[in-house]
Amino acid sequence: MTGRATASRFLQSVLHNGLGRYVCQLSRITLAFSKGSQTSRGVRDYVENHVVDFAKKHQGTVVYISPRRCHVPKVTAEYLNGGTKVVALNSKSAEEIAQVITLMANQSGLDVVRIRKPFHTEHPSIQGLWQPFVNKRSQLSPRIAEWKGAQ
Amino acid sequence: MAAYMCRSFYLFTFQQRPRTCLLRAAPFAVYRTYSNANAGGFWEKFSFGKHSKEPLGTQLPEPEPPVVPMPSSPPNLSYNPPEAAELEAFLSSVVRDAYSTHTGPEDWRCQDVTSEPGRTRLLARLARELGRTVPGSQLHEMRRGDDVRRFYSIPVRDKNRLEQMATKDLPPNIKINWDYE
Repeated sequence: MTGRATASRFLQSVLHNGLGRYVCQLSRITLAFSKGSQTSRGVRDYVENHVVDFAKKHQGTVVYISPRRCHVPKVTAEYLNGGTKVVALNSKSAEEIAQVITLMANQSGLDVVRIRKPFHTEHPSIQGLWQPFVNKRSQLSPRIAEWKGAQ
Repeated sequence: MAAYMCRSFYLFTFQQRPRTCLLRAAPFAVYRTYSNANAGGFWEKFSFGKHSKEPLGTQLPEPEPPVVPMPSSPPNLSYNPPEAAELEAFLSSVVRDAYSTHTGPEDWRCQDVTSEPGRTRLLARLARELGRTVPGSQLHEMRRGDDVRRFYSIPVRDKNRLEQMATKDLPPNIKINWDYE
């Protein structure tokens, strides 16, 4: 499949994050797991041992821990721009889960798709784009001068 | 008479159904005598269903809603052993009482605790006093006084680690939902 058929977007940051202070874009993270199921073993281990460190490191993020009857433990990340991301954590170890959660914390809520250009600017030209009357004597274009004066 | 005895009677006495179904299960034949004409005759001694037979439900009191015994809270399985010296002193006295021996101060450890009736006396008294019973899977290990001492010196934690988190100081951005669906 070519790149034209798949989703893509332009490079951007949410509200110019990083221009001033960096703001962690993760607003809340929800860990849903089972108290007794085998698949939730890694998540239980993470909750008992690692989640408090994560919460202390990311103080702007709310961590919801909800034990409930489920076969597949999940982590749901909600971002400041409204985007959500859900990752299944069944049969993962606590270290793998820590990696997943750190990744989610470092992302913004923008889609993870192909980025068309690795650069973006709001002001592509400072002095103005070239057009045929640039650097020509102004008698060649009186009407343009009038028009610009009328503006 | 037989029809009356079988369904409504059974329903009422054995199944404690609510009263609505009793009203539906009326006896099949109710004869009401409106006149007193043959009240004193020979055949009036035999009822043959002539008297209005009220269902038994109106004579007995209303059935109360069934009382479901509330399940008792699960027993607290946590066990904190007393201090080592205290525990040893207590155990030595209990072993000596159970086996009625008057041996030296350290011999209670070597005391063989497999013989009855001292064994029952010993283990029952320890279970009562210390609050922890030797489970059946470990009874075979209790062969000497020292084994008993080792068993009773191991603490048992009741709560699992998740519930312990409720008691720890958590940072303000952690919220735990305790409703387990």
